[in-house]
Amino acid sequence: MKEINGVKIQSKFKRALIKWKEKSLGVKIFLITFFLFFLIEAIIQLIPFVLLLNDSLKSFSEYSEYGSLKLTTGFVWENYSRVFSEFVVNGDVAYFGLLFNTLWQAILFVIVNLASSLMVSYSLAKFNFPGKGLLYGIMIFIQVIPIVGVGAAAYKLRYALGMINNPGLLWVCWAVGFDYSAFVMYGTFRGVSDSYAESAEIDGANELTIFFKIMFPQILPLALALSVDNFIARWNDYTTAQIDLPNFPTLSYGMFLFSSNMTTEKTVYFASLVMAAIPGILLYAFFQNFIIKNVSVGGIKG
Amino acid sequence: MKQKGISKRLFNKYSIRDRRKWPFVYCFVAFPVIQIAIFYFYVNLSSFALAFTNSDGSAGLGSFELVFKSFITGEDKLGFNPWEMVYKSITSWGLTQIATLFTILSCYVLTKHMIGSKLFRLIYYIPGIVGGVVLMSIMKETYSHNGIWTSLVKSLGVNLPERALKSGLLGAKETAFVTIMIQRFIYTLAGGGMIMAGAYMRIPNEIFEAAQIEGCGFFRETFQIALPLVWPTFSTLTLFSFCSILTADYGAYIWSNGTGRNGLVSVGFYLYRYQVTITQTPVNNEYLYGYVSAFGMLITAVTIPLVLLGRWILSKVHEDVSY
Repeated sequence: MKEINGVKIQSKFKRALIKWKEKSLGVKIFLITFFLFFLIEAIIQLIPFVLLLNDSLKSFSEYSEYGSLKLTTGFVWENYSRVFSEFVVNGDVAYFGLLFNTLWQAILFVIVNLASSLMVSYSLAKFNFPGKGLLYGIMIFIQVIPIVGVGAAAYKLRYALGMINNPGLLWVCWAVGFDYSAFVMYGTFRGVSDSYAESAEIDGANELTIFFKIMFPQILPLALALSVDNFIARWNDYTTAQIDLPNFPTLSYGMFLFSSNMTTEKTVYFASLVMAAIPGILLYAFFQNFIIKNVSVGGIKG
Repeated sequence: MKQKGISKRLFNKYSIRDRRKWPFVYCFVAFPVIQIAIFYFYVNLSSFALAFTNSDGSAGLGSFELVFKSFITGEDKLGFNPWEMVYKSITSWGLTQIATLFTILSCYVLTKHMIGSKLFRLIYYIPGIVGGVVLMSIMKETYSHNGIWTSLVKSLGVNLPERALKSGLLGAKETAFVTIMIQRFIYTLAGGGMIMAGAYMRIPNEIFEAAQIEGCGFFRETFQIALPLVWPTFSTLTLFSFCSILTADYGAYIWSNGTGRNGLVSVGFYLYRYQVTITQTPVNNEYLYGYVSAFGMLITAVTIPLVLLGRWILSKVHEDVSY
C-alpha cells in the first residue's frame, strides 16, 4: 500500500477486489455471465484476424496444402515485401501509390468537411441572424429525413461540372457543412460559455480572432475526435475511388479489385490485408477514449 | 407601407450587437449554404425530375412504370428481384435493432463494471475500424470451404448443401445470407454501441456514488439510474436508424464482389449497382438514371412515414428525445 502525506492509498486492483467482495451473489453471477459473454465475443472477433496474420506468414505451398487451420512453420516475411511490387491496380498503381492516394483523399476530406461543419455549427450556435431557423431546420431535416436514390442525379451533376477524376474540383462535394459533424458540434458550441469571447470583443478582437483563438480551441477535442472518425471512414471508403476518382485508386478500392481478380499468390494478398488494417487499428488504439468521450448524440454531454 | 412595418419588426427582433455581426455570419455560412443548395437541394430536385423522365427523354411516368413492372414481375432490367432487395434490407435492419437493444445493457456493464473493458472495446471496434473491404475479405476466408467457420459448422453436423460444401458458406444461396446475418448479429451484440459507451462514460461517477450511499443496489443502479440517463441517446440513435429501415446495407456489394451472387443483395446494393452500371457504361444506359431515381423516390415515400411513426413512438415512450 502506497503512502502519500501520511494517507494510505490502495492500489486500483485492491480497491476493485474490495468492491467485488462487497457485491451480492446475484450481482457476482450477473457480472461473471457478462464477462464470459465479452470474452467469447472477443475470441470470435479476434479469430479471423489471428488466422489472417498466421496465413500472411505462410508460404503459398503451405497455405495451399493445409489451409488456414494450421500454425505457420516458416514465417515468410517476404510476403510483406512482395506486396509492394505485386499489389498493382489499374496496371500501374502499386502499393505506395494506393497508400498515397488514400492518405491525401482522407486528409483532404477531413479538412474540408471539418471546416465546412465548423462554419455551420458555430454560426448557428453563437449568432442571431435572419435565416438561422431555416438553416437549423435544414440541418435537422438532412439528418432525419432519408432521401435515397439520388446517386444517379448527383453523378450526372458531378460529371457535368467536370468533377470526375478531378480532385481539384471534387473536394467541393466533400465539404458538406450540414452533416452529422455539424450536428454534434452545434450542441457542443451551445454549451461553450460566451464570457471569454465577450471579453475579447471588448478588448478589440475581431470575429475571426474570437473564433480561432477562443471558441475553436474549446471544442478542439471534439473536432479532433470527429476528424479521427472521419479519417478512418475515409481510409476504408472504396466507393469514391470507384465512382468519382477511378484514376486515383485507394487501398480499399485496390483490395476490392484485387479480391475479385487475384493476380498474385493468396498469402501475399493476406499480407496486403494486414498492412491495410494496421493504420486504422493503431489510430483507434491511441485515440479510443478520446473518441468515445467526445462524440455524443442525444442528451448527455458531460 | 405594411411591408415596411414587417421588415422593421423583424429588424427590431435583433439587438444592435447581433446586427453588427451579420456580415461576418453570412460570409461564414455562405460556402456551406451554396454547397448544400447545389449538392443537396439541386441534386434532389434533379433526381425528382429524372424520376419523371421517360427513357426517350420526354416527361412522363415511364420510369415509374418500369419500377412497378419490376416489382410485379419480380425481375428488373439487370435481372434482380426488387422484392428480395427490400426483404433483405429489412431483415438486416431488424436484426441489427434487436442486437442494438441488448447493447444498452452490455455497454453499461462493459463501461462501468468490467475489468479489461478498454481491451474488450478495442477488440469489438476492430471490425468497424478496418472497414468493409478489408474485414469482408478477411471474413470470406473464414467462410471458404476449408475456413474455420465452415469447418466448425460441418463438425457440428449441420447438413450443408453441396455447393456450400464445395465453395464454402458464401458459395450457396441457402447459406450465404444466413451466414452474414448471424455474423452481423453476433458482432453488433458487443460492438454495436460506441456512442452508447460514450454516453455512459459521460455520466459523472458522483451520481452512482451518491446512489450507493443512499443504499441503492447494483440492479437498481443499472435499471433505474444508468439506463434512463442514456435513454435520450438511445432514442436519438433509434430515430436515426429508422431512416435506413429500407436501405440498411450489410455490405452486400463487397460480399458478392458487386455481383449480388447467392442472394447477397440489399436496396443499398441495388442502387449502388445501378450507379456503377451507369458510370461504367453511360452511353446505352441513360434510361437507368430515371429508373434509379424513381426507385429511390418510391423507397423515400415509404420510409418518411416510417421515420415519423418511429419519432412519435419514441416520444411516447420517453418525452426527452433531444437533438
